[in-house]
Amino acid sequence: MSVLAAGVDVGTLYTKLVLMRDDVVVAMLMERTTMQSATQTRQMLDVALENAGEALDAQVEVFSTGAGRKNVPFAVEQKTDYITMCTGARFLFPTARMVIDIGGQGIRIVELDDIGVMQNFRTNDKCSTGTGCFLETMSLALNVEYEVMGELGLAAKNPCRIQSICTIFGESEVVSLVAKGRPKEEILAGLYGMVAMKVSAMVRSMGLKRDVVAVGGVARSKGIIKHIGDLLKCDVLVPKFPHMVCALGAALGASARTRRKGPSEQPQVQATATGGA
Amino acid sequence: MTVTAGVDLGSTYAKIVVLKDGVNVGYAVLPTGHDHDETSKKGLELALKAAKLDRKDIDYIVSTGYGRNITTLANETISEISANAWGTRHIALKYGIRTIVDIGGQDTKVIALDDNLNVADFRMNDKCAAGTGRFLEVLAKTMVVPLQDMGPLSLRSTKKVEITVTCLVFAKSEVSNLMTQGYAKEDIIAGIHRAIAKRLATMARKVGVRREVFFDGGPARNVGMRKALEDELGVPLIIAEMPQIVTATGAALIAENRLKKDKRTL
Repeated sequence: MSVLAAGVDVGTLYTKLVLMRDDVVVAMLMERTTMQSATQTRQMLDVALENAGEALDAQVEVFSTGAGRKNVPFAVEQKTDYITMCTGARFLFPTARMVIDIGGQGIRIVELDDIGVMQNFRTNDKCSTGTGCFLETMSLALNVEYEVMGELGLAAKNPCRIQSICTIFGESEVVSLVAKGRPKEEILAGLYGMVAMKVSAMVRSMGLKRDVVAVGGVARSKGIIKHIGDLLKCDVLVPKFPHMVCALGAALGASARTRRKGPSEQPQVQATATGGA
Repeated sequence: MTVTAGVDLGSTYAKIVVLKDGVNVGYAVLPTGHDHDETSKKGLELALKAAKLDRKDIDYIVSTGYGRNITTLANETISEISANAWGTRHIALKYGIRTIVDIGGQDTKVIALDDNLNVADFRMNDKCAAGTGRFLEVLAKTMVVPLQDMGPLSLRSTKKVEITVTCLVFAKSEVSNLMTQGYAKEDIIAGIHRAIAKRLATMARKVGVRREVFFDGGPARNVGMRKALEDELGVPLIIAEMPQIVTATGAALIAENRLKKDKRTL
């Protein structure tokens, strides 16, 4: 039996969708999260089906995850991001023992045993430092495009020391560093250090276990990952599309369920257009 | 006659107070800007003008606050914790103050006094913008409400709106969301005050809340903030006439005390 499954990760900033046919990714999409998740995710699924050359009315098993997982009416099951991030990370890196997810508004770290069962976790969703919100704020303050931020400053010889640990105070500090004429690269390197300090402290409070895998949008920043690796004194593995890992995990979960139980009674899924949130 | 001055260079505002024989005869409040030294000189000039005194009349100047080491005016510097305790002293004597809650531009402090009005214990948050004056300032801007209108507006609140997040960055988006969802301005503002009050109350409880409680710092001028904090702590708050200049007054009082001591040693 061929299984078509999708994972929808409704994050605080971005919504991600992964479509899989027999556990092979056939389509991936990402859009800024809107206030109308129900309509948005339905449209994204249609686009994904079309991109993958599947019929729009094909039987798709959907799991949703992320902060807005409850707003996906056609999902058969809702999974917390802790579960999907681990499923996705272990699928890509079977040796993963620690998964760090740095998302739009929070940082989560999960520790796994060697067969992939969750042992412990830490989360910080009270403070925006190091999250996607933080990077967006700083990209505005530095007038550097968000997309190129991760590369810039990797080679800085003389990184600034950022004293603050708060996004708001850090922003003022960045503005005054810019006013003092420090190059953007050095300020960025300082910001990477600030984020890495926070993440590595969280990891150390749990006890470092290898291999360490980083997922979530912020993991696309090479600078931040390098600094985390330096502080933890170990390699940090990053998949090619770290921001899609939770959606991938949800899709894998959906396809496993189909194989186990057969296709579910769909809460489906009229072809779009009607909308409603 | 002794004339002393206290210069409080805060993160957001500079406050300068001139005392003549221990009595406030002139003061100035101005934005700190980025040249702290220049600001303090300008502020002193303004305060002296108000006091109808001259620069050469001043016997001793004590500076305090974040910029205390940058200004070249001061004969001496003192931490804002001590200056605040000194500035509160006469109020403390009058009302029997044992706890001081202070919201600054970029920090919050709770100071416990012993029965001799010395600092017994304190807690401070200067790491995180949540609960500080900045929190109020940024969210006022997000709501496009002038800072001084926040208090009176919030008193008109009829419905409870909760700010559920801690971080100011998240609060900004939560407040924007609440506005698009059509919640009333005054209800959201009351929610903001309550969120700040909750954080302060947590800090205050760690130090221990002993009556009377003195509420200090710029946001003490905000009636809504006052009410929220009173509700949260469950005690009435005592407010200075000019909360913003209490710390600067303290610095000036310390300056006066130095002169007295010097005379004694002479």
